[in-house]
Amino acid sequence: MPVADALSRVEEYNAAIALPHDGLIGISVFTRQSGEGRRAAAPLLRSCVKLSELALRALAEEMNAAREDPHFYNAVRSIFGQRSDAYTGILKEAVSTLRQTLSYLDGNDNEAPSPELLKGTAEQLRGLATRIKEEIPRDALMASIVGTTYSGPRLR
Amino acid sequence: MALDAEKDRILRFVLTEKDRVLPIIDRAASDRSQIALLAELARTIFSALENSLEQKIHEIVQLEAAALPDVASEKIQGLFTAVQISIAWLASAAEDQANIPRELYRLVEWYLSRCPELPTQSVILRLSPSELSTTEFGEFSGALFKHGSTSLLPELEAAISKPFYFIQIPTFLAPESASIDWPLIFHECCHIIEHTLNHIGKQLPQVPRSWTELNAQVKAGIPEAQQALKLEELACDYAAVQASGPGYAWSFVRRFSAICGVFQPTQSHPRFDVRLECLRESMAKNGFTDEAELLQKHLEDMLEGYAAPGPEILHAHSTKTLELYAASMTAYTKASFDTAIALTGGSVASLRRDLRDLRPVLLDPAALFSLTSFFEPAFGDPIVGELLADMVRLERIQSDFLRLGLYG
Repeated sequence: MPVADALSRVEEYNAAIALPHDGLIGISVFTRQSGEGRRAAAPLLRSCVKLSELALRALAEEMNAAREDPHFYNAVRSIFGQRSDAYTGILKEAVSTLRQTLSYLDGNDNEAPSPELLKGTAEQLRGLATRIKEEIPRDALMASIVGTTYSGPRLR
Repeated sequence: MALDAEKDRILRFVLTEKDRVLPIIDRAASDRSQIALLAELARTIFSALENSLEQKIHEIVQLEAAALPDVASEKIQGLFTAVQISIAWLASAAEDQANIPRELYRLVEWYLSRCPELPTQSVILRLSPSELSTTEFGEFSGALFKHGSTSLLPELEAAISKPFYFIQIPTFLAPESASIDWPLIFHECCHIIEHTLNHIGKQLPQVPRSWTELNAQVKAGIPEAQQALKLEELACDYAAVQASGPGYAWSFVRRFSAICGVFQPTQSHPRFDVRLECLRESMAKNGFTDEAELLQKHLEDMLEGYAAPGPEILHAHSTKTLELYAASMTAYTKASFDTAIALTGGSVASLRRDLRDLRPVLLDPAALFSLTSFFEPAFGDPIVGELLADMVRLERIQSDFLRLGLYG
């Protein structure tokens, strides 16, 4: 595979994986911390909401979404495009839960989403991360750039 | 914890690779002055990794404490792969040097030096199985070390302060015996000039200048990005002909002529027939009328019996932009082109005879290549190819001789 094509797929992976990762880390900080410590979750959750909304626009084939972040747009179209209705539902639910959490953190809402609801959203995000990893074999693509393979240290 | 052990392993890997890879690059640099640039880049990268990688992995390891060992492990793995590929890229580039003639470097250096506005460029040639392309290392490592839109290792990005280009050359093009096709590298040099000076970018302010960004927009189907990229490709063809006349066109036909380039075009490059038409026009405008006719005939033969493909959608200002670009590039290469034109008046025949008889000829590289002809079987001869490479070396010696003020 030409270097530019492999790099472009790696960029797509990097852009896409930020969505579930930011959401998962944000939810984890929110659920494990208390009081002021929870506020550290806000930027991560905001990033996840922003990316989820961009993903929804990409699934709706909105070209301005492609202009905003073409790597992310291409990733979303190639990974989630075939079952776009199902993924649109998942992303909308995630946005709703995370917005409610942010509203609580900003002091605009007295009630945070229930732990079960947050756990459910985290599971959905994990599912998205798995799908991204399956669809874009980042390490293999990177190895193809230099024509070598190296498994590297992994946590087993 | 397991992730701490991962951290130690990765840091050990960097140190071990530093001890292994730097001597390889230094060895290549001791043989080639150009490779000193690669050695400098490698030291910068190892230094940035040694200074900041531990802290970065430590930050990621903290996620384990947030009960996300899977996310932490994945991020560490992503970072590690990026480190490993960056180092492997440098090492393989150093190892490739044994198979890349210094005359090919001379050709790149000669072409880029034609452009007075261009600051000195760091360019390293490396081998690839089949592609002729250019990669800017900052963009390359930026793509590897990224999470979302954030750099995972901004210290590395900051350390690579100026553009560093790698031109990937297909292995079949590297040997001296293939030097008749070396003018193809002028196209890549034009990409470097364009990336630095942004001639076309100024005409198309609405599209990004980063190659990876522009390619992604093309893939996403954004029409203005597709047109911009195709226009840049045409301009690089056009400018390469400005420098080496038919030499580039024949090499392009010989190495890349494929009917599927007409009927299954890529999103990033103009259709093959459109590129040939651009080359034909550039040659005709510059006095190589016989060669332009031959190219026209080649194009007609290639498409004979097939329905004419539809029109290629190019940027509305493509003709104007190409002319502007050609004007800029002609200024860079005018002297050699004029030499070539003057020689076509009559002495070209004796020059070709000299080439065929394996006698040395002193001409600048582009003029030399502009006079070699695809349709003469002798120029497919590997011995003639090697001779052309020798002449590039001779020209280098002559130019050094003059630079040092040595005459006689």
